[in-house]
Amino acid sequence: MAFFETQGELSNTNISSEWLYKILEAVPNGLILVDSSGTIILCNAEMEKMFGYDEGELLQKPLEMLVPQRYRSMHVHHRQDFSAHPSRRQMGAGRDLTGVCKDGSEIPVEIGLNPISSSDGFYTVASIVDITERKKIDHQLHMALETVQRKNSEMEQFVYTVSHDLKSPLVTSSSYLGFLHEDLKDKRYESLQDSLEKIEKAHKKMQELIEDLLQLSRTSIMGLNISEVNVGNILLDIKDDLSVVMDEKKIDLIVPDETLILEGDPKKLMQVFENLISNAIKYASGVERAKIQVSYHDVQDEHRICVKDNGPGIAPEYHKKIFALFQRLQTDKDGTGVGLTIVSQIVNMHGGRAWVESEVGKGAEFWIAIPKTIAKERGKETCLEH
Amino acid sequence: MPGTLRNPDTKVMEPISLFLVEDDDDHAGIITRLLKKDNPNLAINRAKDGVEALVFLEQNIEKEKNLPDIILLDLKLPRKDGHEVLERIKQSPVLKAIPVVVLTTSDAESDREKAYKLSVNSYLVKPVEIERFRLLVEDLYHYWCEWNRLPNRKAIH
Repeated sequence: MAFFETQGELSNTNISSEWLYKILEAVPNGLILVDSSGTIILCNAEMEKMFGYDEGELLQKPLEMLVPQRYRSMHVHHRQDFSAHPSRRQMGAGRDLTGVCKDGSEIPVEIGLNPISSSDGFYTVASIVDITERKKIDHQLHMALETVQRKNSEMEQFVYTVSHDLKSPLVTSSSYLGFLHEDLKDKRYESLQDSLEKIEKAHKKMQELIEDLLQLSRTSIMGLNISEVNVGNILLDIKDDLSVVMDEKKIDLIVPDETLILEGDPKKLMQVFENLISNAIKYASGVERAKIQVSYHDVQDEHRICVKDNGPGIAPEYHKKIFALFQRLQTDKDGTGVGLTIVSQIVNMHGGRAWVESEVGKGAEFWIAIPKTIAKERGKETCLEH
Repeated sequence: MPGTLRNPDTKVMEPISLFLVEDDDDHAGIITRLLKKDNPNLAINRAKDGVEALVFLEQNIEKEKNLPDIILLDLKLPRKDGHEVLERIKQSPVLKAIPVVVLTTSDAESDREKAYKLSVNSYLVKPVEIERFRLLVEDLYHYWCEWNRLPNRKAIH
């Protein structure tokens, strides 16, 4: 053993066993010495602490008692292999190693092995580090990376759709401006009105898109403000606000008589119901005896709410697509294709889901499910995520 | 200048039929007006989404007539997008001979690459300025419908 030359007891020629013992006890890793039969000969305080044993309790015990039951027989083989080909190495190369504590709990560990040969036989020194914390941090890092990657691809998709969808009305308005000039010059006055209307419509479209995009970005930037939400009152408010439109379009909006109280962000959930109902209005209008019906369903650990219309219905292949940004089934209907994206985003923030059940010709049922207990930290988490 | 550099051979051919797949009514109006300005005899059929486009083409295969000479295809379409329509056209033994020109607002690399991988014949981006849009449609017509020799039209008609 070589030591750097120091004063006092720690000289390069003579180290007292008391000092060696102190060093062993002070090492911040778990250390054990095992003989060729796999019996623990020596064990430091850190090792006992890590695995929850009392002082001296591990001495003369088989090493395998620190190995989870399911790996024990395999471990005996590995140990015998190591005795046959001893070398200094990391144990378990690339695999996750697990130790079992006195109380039966398991901890992830990292183990370094070093063979020692002496006149009275073959020994192995093992250095053990509890990597629970490191694993936790690794996991958090991994999750953070995934979030960043997801956000990144969402962002790319966002920029792509925005540039496409904003450019489209711009092409329309600048083209019709050109036609306007041309027709004026050629004294073709009959089409001027039409060109002007198209330009106005394109401008209105751009304005709507920008407003919806701002709303969408507000939804994702702000976290949730969780409190008690009275869904019944929200629905009545919406019904009130929409009564004129409903009368005009001869659409019946039926909301449940009883109310539903749940946990969530009242403002954001209001937005969800507004979007779902105005979506239903869009597709049910023009249908004979158009009817929109809202219902509550208590299913295990979630509240489900259904907004049902008797519009033309949606073929199964579009059920997922319609929740994506700017996706629309019929271009001639009003709207920008942001409404359902907002619905799904808000519901997801609550830890819930949004989906549609529908067949062509049989109306559509838009469903949202909100968990009965929303993780208390969810609001904050979402805030950090964005 | 119209007529100055045209391919004289085109004079003897039957009028060209163009199939426009475009969901936006205004854009369809613009493209039609620009195309028809110098070529009033051009026959234009239009579909408003991907499903309608494929139905039109497939019905005409069955009838063995009225297949277009050239297809102008928008990418972002309701129900079935332009890439899917393009893929179906290029998979069909009959339709794959028809040149497909994508005409879209998207200049995204992913869209261009995907379209060429699906054997698109040309990829054009709708310009925002009307003068450039006009030039593009004129050149498109001159190139694809006049200079370019379309496949033996009897073979696909």
